[in-house]
Amino acid sequence: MVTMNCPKCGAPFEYEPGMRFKQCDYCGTMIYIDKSRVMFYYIIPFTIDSNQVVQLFRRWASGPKMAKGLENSKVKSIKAMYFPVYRFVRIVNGKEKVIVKPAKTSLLPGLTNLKIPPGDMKIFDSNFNTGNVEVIQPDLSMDTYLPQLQGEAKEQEIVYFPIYEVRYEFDGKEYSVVIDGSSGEVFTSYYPPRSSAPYLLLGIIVFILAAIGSAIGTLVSPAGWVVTLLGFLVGLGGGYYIAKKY
Amino acid sequence: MKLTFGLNCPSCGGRVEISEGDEFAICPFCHTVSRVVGDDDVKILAYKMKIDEKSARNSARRWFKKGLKARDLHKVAKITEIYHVYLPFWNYSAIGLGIICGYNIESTENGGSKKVYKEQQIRKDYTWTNIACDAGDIGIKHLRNLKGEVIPLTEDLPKYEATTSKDDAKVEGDKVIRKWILSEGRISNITFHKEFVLPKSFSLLYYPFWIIRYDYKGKMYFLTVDGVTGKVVSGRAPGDPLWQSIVIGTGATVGGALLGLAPIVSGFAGQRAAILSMLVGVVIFGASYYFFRYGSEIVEGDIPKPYIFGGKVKIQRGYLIGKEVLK
Repeated sequence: MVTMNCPKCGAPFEYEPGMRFKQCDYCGTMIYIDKSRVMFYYIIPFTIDSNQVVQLFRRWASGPKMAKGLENSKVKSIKAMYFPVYRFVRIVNGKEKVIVKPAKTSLLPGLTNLKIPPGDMKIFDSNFNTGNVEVIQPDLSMDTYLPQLQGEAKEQEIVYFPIYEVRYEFDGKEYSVVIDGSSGEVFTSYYPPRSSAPYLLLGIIVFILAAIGSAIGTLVSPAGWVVTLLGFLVGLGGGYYIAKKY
Repeated sequence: MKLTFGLNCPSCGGRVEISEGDEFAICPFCHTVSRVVGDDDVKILAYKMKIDEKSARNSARRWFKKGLKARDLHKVAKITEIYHVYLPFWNYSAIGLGIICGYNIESTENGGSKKVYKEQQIRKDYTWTNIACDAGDIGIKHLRNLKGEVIPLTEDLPKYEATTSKDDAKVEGDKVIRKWILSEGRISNITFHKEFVLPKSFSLLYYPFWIIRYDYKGKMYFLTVDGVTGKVVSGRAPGDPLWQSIVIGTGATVGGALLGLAPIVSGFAGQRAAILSMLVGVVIFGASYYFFRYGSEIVEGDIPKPYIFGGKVKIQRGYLIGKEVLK
């Protein structure tokens, strides 16, 4: 918690993230907080715990684009951390611009497209308990960005957001994903994919059978519709089998 | 370094009452009139939560049974976590004016077609909303409802911080409203168009949602419930191989049959009808294939849905809310 004082009567008040105006509880003066020349430290707490993150990973891994059985891969390690980014609010030609820049060089998936995940931002100071989660220290200074930024400063802050790095093994190979510990979004650069071939093949077989059946059925003999019906049954049975197995 | 500034009367130093949105303030002591320049700040409002935890749970339970989700979802799913949060939205209200000219091609009774020229004047109220932070995996980008009790935002409400630029939101909102005006004309071949967007208000709205996480066979899924209307807004759920197979079986059969019908259709209804039959057949087949291929997870809300044409269908850029014809 950050305490500030009323410039008129000196009474203290507590600063909350996002606060720009505050009415003094004592003298009623409206106070404006000028954030253009200071840097605030914010942190987004975890809302997903380490048990939930495994379940979330399994949900993601069971998705239709991932290889069948990926959900049963062996989770080798889960590492929780707070990852830092800089957020600059600038006034460029009278318009507010928000610029997010890395505070730490990283090759982890999802941390290169730089965005601040949704979350309940808190002031990061000694009162904030990070538990035994590692807080990644910035290795890029804010000064490397400030001179290049356009416009005038309105706000600047460093935001630590919660992530999990999950390493898993599938078919003897190791992969990793990053999961946002606040909203549960999954970031990855590579995962074993599922092939569309069996799905497409079955679809085309049914489609062709139905087409041949209806053409024969209308042009030659109604018996042709049997082929269409056969196609439908192949679609039902084969579809169920493929959806379960592949 | 000075961080805080008291906003008092610049003439006598007395306390002046200023509320958000005020343009002028009159000092009660020396009667000096001051112009409030402010910080170009936007009005901040919150919607009152109307749905309690029990109703949110009931909404989720009903949602489990609906649609092409796993058949046993409502029996097996266990709600493991439920909490509410206020999400920030930029809210842009404007009057949209437009003149659209062009023509539609209509078919005539004797089988031909003719151009029907049209001119439309539009004057409507538009409200566009857009989430003011990254949407993450929440699946909500735009509000569907703006009816409800509005309350001042208090510091104790659990909320997500607005992190995106308000001016970028204005630019985006302007674009979307212009598109809405244009589509209002219902003219397929536009020869001339001009739109005007007259801003009415721009504010930051905090809107309550219930976030529900649930477990299905060791996997964690989620859904969100609108805290004012009680409707499920977004979510993920497991699909079912049975629905997938019924969709591919039916879709590919109907699609194929339409293709096979083309020769006979061409015989008695002409070539155009035959081509149309083939096209419709292929589209039905395509749609059923995508559902078959990607329907093992059902997604709702503003997230791309791979089972609807591979997720290539554009996500809606907002919902028309409070659309009224102005008198």
